[in-house]
Amino acid sequence: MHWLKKKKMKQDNALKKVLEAREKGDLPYGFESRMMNKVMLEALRKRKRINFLAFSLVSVVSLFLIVGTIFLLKYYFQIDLSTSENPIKFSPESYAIFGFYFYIAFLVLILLGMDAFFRSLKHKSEKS
Amino acid sequence: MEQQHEMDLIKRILEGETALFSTFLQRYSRSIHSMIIRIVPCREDAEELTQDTFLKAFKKLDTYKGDCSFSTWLYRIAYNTAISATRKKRILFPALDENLIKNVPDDAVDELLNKEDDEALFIKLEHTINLLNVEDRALITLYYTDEKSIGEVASILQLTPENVKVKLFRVRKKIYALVKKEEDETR
Repeated sequence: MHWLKKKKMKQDNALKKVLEAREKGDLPYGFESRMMNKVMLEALRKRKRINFLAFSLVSVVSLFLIVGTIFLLKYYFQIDLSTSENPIKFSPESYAIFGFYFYIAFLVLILLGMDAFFRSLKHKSEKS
Repeated sequence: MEQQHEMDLIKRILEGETALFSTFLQRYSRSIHSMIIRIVPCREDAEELTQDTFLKAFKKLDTYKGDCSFSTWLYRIAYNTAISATRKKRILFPALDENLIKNVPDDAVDELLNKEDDEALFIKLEHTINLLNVEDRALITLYYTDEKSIGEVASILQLTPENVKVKLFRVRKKIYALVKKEEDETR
């Protein structure tokens, strides 16, 4: 564009002057605090939405797992769920390693708990 | 440096420190409002659109990736909000014959738009600016008043820098043609 090349940018003084003289208008008193109230409300709504979605997701997954388990027991293992008798028989060897399994599960829970605790500590120190 | 600080603020806001959003309000609310009021010349509408801009910015904060400055991103939201509001109101702007604009000599435009202390011309220009459509008004407001570079204007209007230059060139000619048309009509 020749006018951009041959002249210094941002000229067209008459046009610039008229545009600058046009209504500037100040924001009314308290605009920022009113706006912040709206933003806070929106943040609350957003948090509620996320919580609702998380709850719905957990519910759907839980339901799916329950239905899946029932289906598996009934049609794959062909276990009659209407009888109160325990159809799963464990050998004495299996009973012996139950303790070990519980020990591993307990260790995993402890490690996960420590991970969550240290993460929250780090998060707090970053914020401050 | 500034952009890094703003990125940090955004990260903290997204992590739940919502009150920090007031920093952006204090920093940009006046300039955003002043741009909107120049393209939508109604005080009440401009205030409402400024509110809408900041609320949209807060809702979409997670989509800001830092590929442009935060102010450019905010101006883009403000521009789109103002444009869609005026489209909803279906404001009609006078159309000009394309050939008339094309035939305007470049030097005549330069001469007219660089005149100093010509009060009569200023009044005509003021009237002419009101006849421009919102897109054109936003373009010249950003370029001449808000002192944005061609690159920034292009980023705000989501155009290429070349396209912005072509549009600016065309708007200047359009203004000239409208001023001359008004002069002919008053004769």
